[in-house]
Amino acid sequence: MRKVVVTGMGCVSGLGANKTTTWDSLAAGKSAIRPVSVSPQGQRELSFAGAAAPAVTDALDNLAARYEDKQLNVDLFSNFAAAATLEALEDSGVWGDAAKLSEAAIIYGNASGGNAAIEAGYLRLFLSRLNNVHPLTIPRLMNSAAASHLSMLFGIRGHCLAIASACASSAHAIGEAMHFIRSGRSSIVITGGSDASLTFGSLQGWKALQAMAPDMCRPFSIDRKGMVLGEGAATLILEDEEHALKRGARIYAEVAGAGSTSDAAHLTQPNAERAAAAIRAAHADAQLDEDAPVLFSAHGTGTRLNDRSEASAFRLAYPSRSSGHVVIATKSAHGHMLGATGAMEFVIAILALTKKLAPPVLGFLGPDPECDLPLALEPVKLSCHAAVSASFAFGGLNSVLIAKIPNSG
Amino acid sequence: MNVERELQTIIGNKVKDPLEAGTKLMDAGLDSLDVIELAFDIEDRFKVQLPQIGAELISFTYGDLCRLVEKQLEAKADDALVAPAATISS
Repeated sequence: MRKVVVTGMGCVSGLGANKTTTWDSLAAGKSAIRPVSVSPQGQRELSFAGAAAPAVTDALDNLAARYEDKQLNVDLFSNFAAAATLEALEDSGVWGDAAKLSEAAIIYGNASGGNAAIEAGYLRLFLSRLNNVHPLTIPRLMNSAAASHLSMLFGIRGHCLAIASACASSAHAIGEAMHFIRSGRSSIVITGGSDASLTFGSLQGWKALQAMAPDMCRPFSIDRKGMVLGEGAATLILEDEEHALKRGARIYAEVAGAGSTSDAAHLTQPNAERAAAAIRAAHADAQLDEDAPVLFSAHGTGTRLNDRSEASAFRLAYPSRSSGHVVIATKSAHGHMLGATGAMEFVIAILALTKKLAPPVLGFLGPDPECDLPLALEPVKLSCHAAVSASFAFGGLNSVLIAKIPNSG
Repeated sequence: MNVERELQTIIGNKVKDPLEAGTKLMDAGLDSLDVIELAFDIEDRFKVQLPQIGAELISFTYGDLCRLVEKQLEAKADDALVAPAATISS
C-alpha cells in the first residue's frame, strides 16, 4: 500500500491569513472570537448580535494580489478555499509546475455552500421585491463551486469533487484523499475544506438551534454555553510518499489512517459509541496502538451535548488512563469553521506535532465531571509522534484522522 | 445621467481599458457569462429592461450597447409620461 504524506499546508481564519500567523496566535493563547453584529445589506432593523470569529481582514490579500477581480468573482467560501490552497501549493513546491498540477486531483469539503450568494438572492426577491436575481447566483452557491474554483485558478485537471458531511466535511475529504492516493489513482491530491457562514441567515439558523454561546466557546468546561461560529479554509497537499521523495519535497507528516462511522440515530444528538468506533477504526487503519501517547484534537464544540458525548467516546476508545494523551480543542480559538473545521484542526495538529507544543484550550472556567479529559489548559510540550483529529458532525457523521510525524513508531 | 460614463463604470468590472465605440464586446474579452452579468448590472443600474436576452449582447459593439441603453431609457421616460394619464382614467 502506498504511504500518503503531507507536503504543503495553508489556512485562513480569524487567527490569521496563513499558517505562520495562525500558529503564532494559537501558541500565544489568542482567540479570534469577539462580539459581532450582522445585518443583511440595507436592513438595519434585522440583526444578529452575538459572538463569532470572523476571518482576518487580510485573509484574501495574497490571493487578490495574484489574480484579477474577474477570476475571483465567486462566493467568499470559494475564495477562502483559493487563499488557503495558494499557500499550500506554494508551500509544497508544486506551485508553478503546470504538468504536476494538471495531473493532480481535488477532494474538497464544505458544509454550507455559498451562503452569501443565497442570501443576496433572497434579499432581492423577498425584501426588495425584485423579480430577478444575479445571474451567478447558482454557480456561486453550489457546493462544488469551491472545488471548481480551485481547479480553474490553479490548472488542476484530474478528479475533482466536493464532499459534504456537515461539520466533518473536510475531515472526510482528507480521508477520501488519503484513500485516493493509497489506491494509486493520483500522486497528488489537493484536499481540505472551506466555509463562509457568518451571514445573517446562517447565524440565525444556528441561533435557532439554541446551540450558540453568547460570548465564548469553552470546550469541556463547566458552565459552557455552546458553540461560536468561525469561517475560513484549510488546505493540505497530500502526496504519494515515493512521489514526494523523488522530487525532494519537504514532508510534514504521514496521513497514517482514517476512520469513519455513522450514528444512524439522530440529526443533532451525538452517539458516543459510534464516535468511539470511528476513533478505533482510525487507529486500526493507522496501525497505531490506542495506548501509544497521542495528541488528540477534539471536535470540542463547547455545546453541552457534544462535549459530554465526546468525553465518553474518548474514555471508550482509550480505556487505559496511563497512556499520556494530551487533548486540545482549538475551536476555542478559531471558532467552529463548519466544513473547514476538520481540515483546520488537522493542520493545527500537524503543526503542533512538528513544533512539539500543544496549544491551550481557551475559555476554560473549571472542570466538568462529565468531561474528565487530559486537556492542555496551558501550552504543553509534546513528545508524542502521532496526532488524532476527531470530527463528529450533525447527522451523526463521524470522521477521525491520524497523522504521524517522521520517525514515529 | 451620463449613460456612457455609467456604462464604462459597469464594464470596468470586467475590462480594464475604456472601450472604443466600434469594439465588439466579445473582442474586448467578455464571454457569454460576462455579458449575462453585464445585462443584469445594466438593468439594475438604469432600471430598464433590455429586450435582448443577455447572451445575444456578445455580438454587440460597445457603441451598440450605449445606443440600446439610451433607447430603453427614452422608452422608460415615454412610459412615465403616459402612466399618470392612464392612472387618472382608470
